[in-house]
Amino acid sequence: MGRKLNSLLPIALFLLIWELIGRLPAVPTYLFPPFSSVVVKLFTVKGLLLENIFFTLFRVAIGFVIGTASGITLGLLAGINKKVNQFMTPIVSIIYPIPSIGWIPVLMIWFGISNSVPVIAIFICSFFPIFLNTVRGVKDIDQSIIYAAKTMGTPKTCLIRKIILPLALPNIFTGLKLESGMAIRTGVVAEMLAIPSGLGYLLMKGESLIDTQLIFVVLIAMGLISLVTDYTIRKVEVKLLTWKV
Amino acid sequence: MKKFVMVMMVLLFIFPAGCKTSIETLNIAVELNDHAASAYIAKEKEDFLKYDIEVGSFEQYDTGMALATALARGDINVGYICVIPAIISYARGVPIKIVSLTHQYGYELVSRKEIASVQELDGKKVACPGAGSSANFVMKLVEEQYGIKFNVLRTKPLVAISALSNGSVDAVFIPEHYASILVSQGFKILLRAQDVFSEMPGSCIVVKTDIIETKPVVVKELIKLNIAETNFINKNQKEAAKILSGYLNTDEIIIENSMKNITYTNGLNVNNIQFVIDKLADWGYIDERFNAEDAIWAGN
Repeated sequence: MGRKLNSLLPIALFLLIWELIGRLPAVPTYLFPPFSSVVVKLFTVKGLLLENIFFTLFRVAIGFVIGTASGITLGLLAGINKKVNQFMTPIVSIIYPIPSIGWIPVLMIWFGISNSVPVIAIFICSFFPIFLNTVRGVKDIDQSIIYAAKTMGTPKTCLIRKIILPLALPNIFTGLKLESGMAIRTGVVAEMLAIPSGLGYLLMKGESLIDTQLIFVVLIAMGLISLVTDYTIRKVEVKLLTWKV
Repeated sequence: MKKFVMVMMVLLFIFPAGCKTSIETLNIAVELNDHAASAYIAKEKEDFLKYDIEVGSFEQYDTGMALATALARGDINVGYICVIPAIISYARGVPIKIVSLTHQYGYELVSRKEIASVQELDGKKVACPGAGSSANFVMKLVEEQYGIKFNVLRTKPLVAISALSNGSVDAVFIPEHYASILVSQGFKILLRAQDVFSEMPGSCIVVKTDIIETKPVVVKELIKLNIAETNFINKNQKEAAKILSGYLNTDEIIIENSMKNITYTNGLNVNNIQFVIDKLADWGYIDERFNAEDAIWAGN
């Protein structure tokens, strides 16, 4: 109870300061709305907000799942096979440092304005860190364990499924935790640039209508989504890595 | 005599704003199109100074919404801006008032030549600036009056031009002079703002209320200047087009054609402004209706 209070107190204080600043006569509401007015706005636009959260999450889910799945698959391959690693590493080293949002203009030219743009941008954002973390995870495995399994005649697919993948999971989860928030941010930026739906669209609508309350509602929603995503991944991590604990 | 001089001095001290005693500095912002023609002409001819107005800064914004947010931040105190973003700014509480109109119309639906009617665009991909822009206002009116729904791609005018040129969209809702650029590239005007709003107010001059309250004479001079420049534009369209083509970095012929699609006028019609307010409230772009007179400074 005491611990909960300790973590809630700073949040309450932060919201109070926000409310007080928003109510200062010198601060126009259209520039900095009080927290209470943002809450009122939240109830006014809840239908619209939920609809657009769905669009954003849908795009993020597709891009993130495909990016993660292919990152883990290719990462495992590169971690196990030297030739695949030698082929992939230089390419990934060049592409990985490019910010995923930097791809958006060229994606817009290639695919037009469609769901493909945020989905592919999120894919790029997720794939490379997951790939690199998976390779690192495989390389960090104690080779004596793999050697022992091989000498006991463990088939290759079983070796990957039962030994390599589980032992690489801690590194993979590090990548997942890092990139889940980034995937949401990338999706929102892509929506801000042109897509007529999603949280990014709502942010731009708020900007063009000077509706700062709407902007804050969307920002809070984004923060909560990132928090829930991070929490979910941590929970899954704890469940899958019980052997490590 | 001594008493008279004393009284005059006291009056001058009490009502300094009412007396045109010195040149006033205004920070002016305009949209990057020929809607703000009167501002560009005044700048080119250095007419602001003739009306005792010194231009502190003269900034260009590519959309009315961007200009509206600059007004909200307080970067500028005079804006030549489309009526729709001006109304939205006022409704949000930005301390501004509309003091004069600069033109009517000037927003069009431009499409590929093969498209014969507006109805053909039902469900088709159409580029349009975001909510709160005049082009978006016209698009919403078209959807209402024609009973159709567009698949809208939200873009700035310059991006809309390339979107139509490279076939990403079937049509664009776009302000002049961008519409005329597209016409020069072989596209056609399918619909004009006046087809859905017979007396659609285009752009206006908005002034921060602190300037109106403290320096009403300066604002009156600004209005007089706007009227003078509007007369100049209507009488010397070729010369005006030449001046504008330099500021807008666009071919003179295109600007001249574009100006023919705009009616440069200054009279504010309260009913038309009220229509805009009511529509914006209906669509949820502003929280509630208000009287148009509240957003207009009548010069009193």
